[in-house]
Amino acid sequence: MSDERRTSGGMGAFGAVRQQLARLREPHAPLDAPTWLRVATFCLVAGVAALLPLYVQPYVNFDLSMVMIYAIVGMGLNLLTGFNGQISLGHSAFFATGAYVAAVAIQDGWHYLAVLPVAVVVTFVLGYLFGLPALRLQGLQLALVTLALAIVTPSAIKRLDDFTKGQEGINLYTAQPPEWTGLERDQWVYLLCLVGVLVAWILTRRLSTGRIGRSLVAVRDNETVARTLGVRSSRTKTMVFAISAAYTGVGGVLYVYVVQFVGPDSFGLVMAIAFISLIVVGGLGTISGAVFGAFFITYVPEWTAGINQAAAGMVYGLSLIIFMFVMPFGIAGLARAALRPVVDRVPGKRGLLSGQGAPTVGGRSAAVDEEELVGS
Amino acid sequence: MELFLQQLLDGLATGALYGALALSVVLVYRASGIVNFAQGEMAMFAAFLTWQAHTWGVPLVLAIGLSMLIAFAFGAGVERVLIRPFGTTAAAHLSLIIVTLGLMLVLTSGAGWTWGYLTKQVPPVFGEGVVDVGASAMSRQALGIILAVAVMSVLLYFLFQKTRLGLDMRAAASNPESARLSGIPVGRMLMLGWGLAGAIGALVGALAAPQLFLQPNMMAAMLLYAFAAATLGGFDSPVGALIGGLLVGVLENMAGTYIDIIGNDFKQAVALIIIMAVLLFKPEGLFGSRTVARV
Amino acid sequence: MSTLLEVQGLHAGYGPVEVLRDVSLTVEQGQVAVVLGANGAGKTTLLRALSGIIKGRGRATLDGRQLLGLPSERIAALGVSHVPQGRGTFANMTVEENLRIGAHLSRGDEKAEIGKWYEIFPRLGDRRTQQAGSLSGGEQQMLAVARALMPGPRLLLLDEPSLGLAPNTTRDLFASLGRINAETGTAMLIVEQNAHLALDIGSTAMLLEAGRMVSSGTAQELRDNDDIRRAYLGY
Repeated sequence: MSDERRTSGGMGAFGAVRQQLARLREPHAPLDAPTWLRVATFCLVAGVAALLPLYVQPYVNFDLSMVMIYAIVGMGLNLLTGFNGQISLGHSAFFATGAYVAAVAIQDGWHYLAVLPVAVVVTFVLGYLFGLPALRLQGLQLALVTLALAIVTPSAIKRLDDFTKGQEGINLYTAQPPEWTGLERDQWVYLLCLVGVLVAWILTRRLSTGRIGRSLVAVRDNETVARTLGVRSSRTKTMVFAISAAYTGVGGVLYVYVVQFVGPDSFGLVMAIAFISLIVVGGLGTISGAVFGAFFITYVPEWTAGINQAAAGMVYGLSLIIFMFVMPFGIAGLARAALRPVVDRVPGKRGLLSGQGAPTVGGRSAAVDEEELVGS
Repeated sequence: MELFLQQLLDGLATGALYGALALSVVLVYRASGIVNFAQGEMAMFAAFLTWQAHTWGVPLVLAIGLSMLIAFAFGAGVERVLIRPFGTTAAAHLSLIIVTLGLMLVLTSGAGWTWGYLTKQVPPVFGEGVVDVGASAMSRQALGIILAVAVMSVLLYFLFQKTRLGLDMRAAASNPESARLSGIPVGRMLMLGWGLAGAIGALVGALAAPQLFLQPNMMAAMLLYAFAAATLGGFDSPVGALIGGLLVGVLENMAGTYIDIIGNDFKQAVALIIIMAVLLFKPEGLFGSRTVARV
Repeated sequence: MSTLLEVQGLHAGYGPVEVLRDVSLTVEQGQVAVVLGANGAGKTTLLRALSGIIKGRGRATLDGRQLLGLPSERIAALGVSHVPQGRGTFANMTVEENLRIGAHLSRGDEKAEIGKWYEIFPRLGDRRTQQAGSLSGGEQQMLAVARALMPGPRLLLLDEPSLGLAPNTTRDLFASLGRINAETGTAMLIVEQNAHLALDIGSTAMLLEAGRMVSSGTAQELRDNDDIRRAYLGY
C-alpha cells in the first residue's frame, strides 16, 4: 500500500509509464459501431477469409483451420467464463468427446458431415449433465471439479479402449473434398472450418447481446438480484454450460477433419490450460478476443517449437500471469481502446448497444469496492 | 484378507503423501482464501532441486532440507509478488485462479526446459528393503513416508497450537483486519503460510519422487488426489486434509483392486468422484467449518 | 492535561468517493471523547482512517507523531487499539486465544494480564475455552474490548459498541468502559449513535454530519444543544 503511494506521486517518465500501465488495466465497454460498419466489417472479413485458401500454401491453410477451430472453442468458453462468470478448466474434455465421437463414427463408416450433429448433441447433453451439479458449485469449487475433469480425461480415454483404441489412438482418412469443387483437401477443410466459425460468430453475437445476453451477465454480476428480476439463474447457468460444451464439441469434430488422428495425450491438462490462455490473452467476455486468442495458441507452439519443447508451455504460463497483471482484458480490450476514437466518429445509425457491458475481472480495477462503502 | 491388508497399508503410504500435499493446499487456502493450482508443480520443482543437489554429491537428507528451504522462500515470494497485489476482493478470485494456473505451467515447462522430460531416478531416502507388518509387508520407504508425515504433522500442530507465532498466523488467517489492528504483521504471516506450504510440498515431492519417477508432469495426478483429500477433509481444516489424504489413498487403492471398471489405470476417476460427491452433498467436508468461498 | 490525539484537516474515503472532509478534533490524555452522528455520517470511516485500515490525507498525530500513512500494525504498536464495528473477534478461536492475540504487543506477563480481564469480565472467564463465535453479542463485545485493551494502549477507538446489544448489556458495557477509563487512564474515542450513554461517560463530544464536523464542545454543551437534543437524544 505505502509503496504505491510513494511512486504514484508523479515521478516524471516513470510516473507516466505507470499511468499508461494503469490505463491498460481498465475495462473497456464494447465498441458502438454503426450497423453498416458492423455488417461491412463482417462481410469483408468473411470474404477475404473465404478467398484466402486459394492463394496460400497447404500448411498455412491447416494452421488457419486450427485458428478457426480454437476460435469456436474460445467463443463457447467465453460465453461461460466471460459473460456468465463460471470458470471451466475442463473444456478439453468436451473437445476430446467431440473428437472421439467423430473419429469412432467415421471409422464405423459414417459420413464425416453426419457426425457433426451427433457430436453436437452428445457434447450438449454431456455439458448439460455436467452443468446440472456444477451449477450448485461456486467459483473455486467449479474450478476444482473442472480441473479434475481435465486431468482425468486422458486416462478415461485409455480406459475406454474398446472404443478409443487406447494409447494407440485412431488414424483416419477423412474430409475429402467432393470432386465437383475441384479443391484440395486443405482448402476444403479450411472452408468447412470457416463456415463453422462464421456460424459460431453469429450465434455468439445473438446469445451475448439482447435478452439472453443480459440474463447471462446479470447472473454473472449478481445472481441474487438477477433471480429477483425473474432470470431463471440455474436454468441459465446449466444451458450456458451445455451450449459452451457443444461449441467445444464442434471444435473437436473439426479438429478430426484437420488432423485425421486422435490420441489420448493430445487432450490433457496442457490443452485445458491452453484454452484458458486463449480467452485470457484474447480478452475475457469478448467475441473478437476468441479469434485473437486462437491465433495466439495456434502460433505460439509453432514459433517456439525450435527453441525448446517446453517453450510453448512457458509462454502460455507467463502470458497468463502477465496478462492478469498488465492487461486483464486481453488483446480485445486493447483493440477496443485503440479503435474507439475512430469508430466513434464514423457516422451512421447505431443499433442498441449490446447488453454485455464492460467485462469484470481482477481485483485491480479502480472501481470502488461496494463492501467497503457499507461500513462508512 | 491378506490382499486387503496389503492394499490398506499401501493406501496409507500414498495417502500420507496426498494428505501432506493437501495440507499445503489448505494452509494456502486458509491464509489467502484461494486454491493454489501450482502447489503440486512447486513440489515437483523442489523434487528436481533435491535430485540436482543429490547428483552434485550433496547427501540426500541434506538435499531435501535445502530444497525445502528454497521452496519456503519461493512460496513466500509468490505470495508477496504474484498474489497480494490482487487484493482480497471477490473479483480478484478469478484472476488469482488464472495466475496460479499460469504459475503451474511456468513451473512444469521450466522444469522440462532445465532438466528435460526423461524420468530421473531419485533414491528412496529411507532406503530399499521391506519391513514385515503382521502378515503383510511394507517397503522401508513407505513406512518412512508415513512416519515422516506424522512427525511433520506433530511439528505443525505444535507450531500452530503452542507457539506465539502459530497463534499469530492463525489470527491473520482468521480475521486479517482484526489481526492487523492487534499489531500482527498480517502480510508477513501470509508469506509464512505460503512458505510453509511450499516447504511441505518440497518434502512431499522428494518422498514421492522414487515411486512416481521424477519428471515434470509427475505431480498433476498427485495434485488431483490432494484436492480430493482437501475437499473431503474440509478446505479450511489441516487435520481434515491429513485424514482426508489417508482416506483418499486407501479408497483409491481399494477401488483399483476391487472395482473392475476402475482397475489400475483409471484410479484418478476416484478423485473426481470424491470431489464431485463431497462438494454436492457435504461441501464443507468432514472437518471443515465453511464451504469453499465463491469467486 | 496535554493533547494525546490531534486530528487536523483529515480527508478520507474509499477510492474516488470522499467520505470525510476536513475533519479536525483532539483527544486529551486520559479523556473520553464521543463522536455522534447518523448512519453514513462518516463515523466508521474516521476510525478506520485513524487506525490505518484506509488511507487518509491531512494530519493525525499521536503525541506529535503522524499516524496517517503508517500501516495498521505500526499504528497499533504506537498504542492505538481499534475495536471495529461488528466487534471483529476471531470467531473460530477460543476466548483465551483471542485474548492472547490481543497480547501480541504487550510486554507484560500474559497470564496475569489475561487473568485481570477475567476478573473485570467474569463471563469471559467462564467461557475461556469456548469459540468466540459461539458467544452472545454482549460477550463478544466484552471480548473485543478486553482484547483491544490487553496491550495497555494509550488510545482506544471504539466503533458503535452498542450496536446490536440489548439495552441492559449496553448499559453494563458503558459502565465498564467508564470504570476502565477511570482506573487505567486509557483515553477513548467512542463513535456512537446511542448518544445518552456515550455522553454520560464522555467529557468532550463532537457531531459529525455528512463527513464534516459540525459542532464540538464538552459533553454537557452538546447535551444542552437543542438541535442535538432533538436529533440524537430524542427529547
